[in-house]
Amino acid sequence: MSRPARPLPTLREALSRVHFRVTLFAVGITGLTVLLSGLAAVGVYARQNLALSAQTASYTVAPAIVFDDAEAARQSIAPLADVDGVAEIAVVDRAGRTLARLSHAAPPHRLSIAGVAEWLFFPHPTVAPVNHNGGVIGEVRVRGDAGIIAGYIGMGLAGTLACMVLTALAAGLLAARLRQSVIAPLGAIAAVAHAVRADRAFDRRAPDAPIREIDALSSDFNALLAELERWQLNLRSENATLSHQATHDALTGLPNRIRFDESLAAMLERAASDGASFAVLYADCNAFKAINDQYGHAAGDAVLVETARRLRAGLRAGDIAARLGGDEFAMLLATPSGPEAVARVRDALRALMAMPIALPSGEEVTMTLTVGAAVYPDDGADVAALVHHADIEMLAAKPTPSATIQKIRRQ
Amino acid sequence: MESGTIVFAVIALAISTLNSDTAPPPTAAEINFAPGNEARAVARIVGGIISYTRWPTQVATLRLCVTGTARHAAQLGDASTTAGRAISVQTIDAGAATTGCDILYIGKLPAPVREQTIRALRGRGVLSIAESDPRCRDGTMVCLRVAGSSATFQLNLDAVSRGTVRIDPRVLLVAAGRAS
Repeated sequence: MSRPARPLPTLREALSRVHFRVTLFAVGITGLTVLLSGLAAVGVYARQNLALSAQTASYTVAPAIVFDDAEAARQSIAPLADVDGVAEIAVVDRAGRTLARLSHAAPPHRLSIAGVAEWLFFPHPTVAPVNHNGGVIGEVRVRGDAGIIAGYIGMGLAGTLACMVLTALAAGLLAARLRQSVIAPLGAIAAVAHAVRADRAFDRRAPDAPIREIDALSSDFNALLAELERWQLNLRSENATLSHQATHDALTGLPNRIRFDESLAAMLERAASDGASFAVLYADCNAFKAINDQYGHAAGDAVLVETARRLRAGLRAGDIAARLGGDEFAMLLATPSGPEAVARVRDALRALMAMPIALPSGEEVTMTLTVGAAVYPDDGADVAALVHHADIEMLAAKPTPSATIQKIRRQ
Repeated sequence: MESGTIVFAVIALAISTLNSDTAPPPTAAEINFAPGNEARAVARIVGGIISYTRWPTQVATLRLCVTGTARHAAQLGDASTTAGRAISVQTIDAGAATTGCDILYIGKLPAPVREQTIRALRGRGVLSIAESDPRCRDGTMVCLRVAGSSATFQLNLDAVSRGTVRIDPRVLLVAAGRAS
């Protein structure tokens, strides 16, 4: 089950290895073929050379045998004994007596290259009969010198070896070129894929490749990435929309109770650590139910929207206005805010709410708010205490229902 | 015929040059024999030379004439063995006409007779062999040297080139004094 510890080979290594083996095989086969066919040809020529030498010697040495002249026999064969490829020439007369023998190469060791070559090509001396008057008066025996063939074999093997070394170098160069044209583009695609997976970098794109298949892969991959990027953007905006919807009131656009509670908790934490003060305000619409009953729900909604806008207008940029539900609103005055900030907001709201609100039907109503406030840390040290304090203050300030609706005009 | 002579001379020269390269001292083809066997050795040498000689006209039986006082001519009839062809031996008187001879074996002759005999051979297809001309200056083609227990021969290239019989240049290799 366990995988071997050795890491998987890279594409370059695999290609390089295949290249190396293929070329090595080709060079080896070619070298061996050339060597063998060359050996066959050289062998034929060497044997012909020996036969020619033997025939020439038998022709020139004939009178020496006729006159039984050993010295003349030696002199007749001397020029031939110096021929390359001839190791030894011997002249034997009819009685089997050796008249002359010239050799310039000792027999090679049986296990040397020359020895093997001699065993292969000249296992026996080449024999040419010496003729005189139509009869045979002796023979010439020529032993071949395999030195030249051994040299050829040696050169052939060395050449093949050199070719194999060159092959190794060439395979390396080829692999480097492959790396340029195949592996680098694949690597670029892999790098982009990794970046997309690890860093969600959907804007990355794979570069063009110099090879058609890889280029097609690259462009398909890029198209896929573009689609993914589009999906990602859609998802993000949808998420943003959903998250906004979850924390905001659909009618007024103000933060809802969830968001307000979060903000309050965060503000409390910050104020506690900074030793700063802030304020919470609760606002209730007076007699909102009566407006709903009298003018309809569309009018109630319009009143709520306009109230929300005015609440927002009465605050600074860092402050928060939220709709807690129904006709209840809340405000958070960011640090540093004390009783004077509460007073300023109360005044601003009173002024803003004094203006009549236009209903969709063309009628106008004036809405009043009941506000309760609590200042941290004077009115409470935690959320519950602050909320309770603000609630109590608001309830205490609530007017009687009968005095709450004032009809301004009716069209 | 003239061009053939030149070719022969060139080949002879080439072979002698070839041989002068290979240093051994000039020695003669020696036919060694037991004492008293001179005639047999001479017969073998004569037969060998005949085997490498070509006459301008082919005859079935070669006529070998012996003239003068010959010491080793007793067994010349055996030369046909080495020559590989039929040979008839006849003795002619000193100074007699040699028209019926293909080979003339010259023994001891008075100098004027010898000179006249040899001069008469000039331009004819006769192989001349001198038994007793150790310096080989008298104009015979082949000069035998029989001394002690060995017999050798020498070729007179001038005489060979003047004659119309052709001696195989390979014989030069075996001739005594060839490198001198």
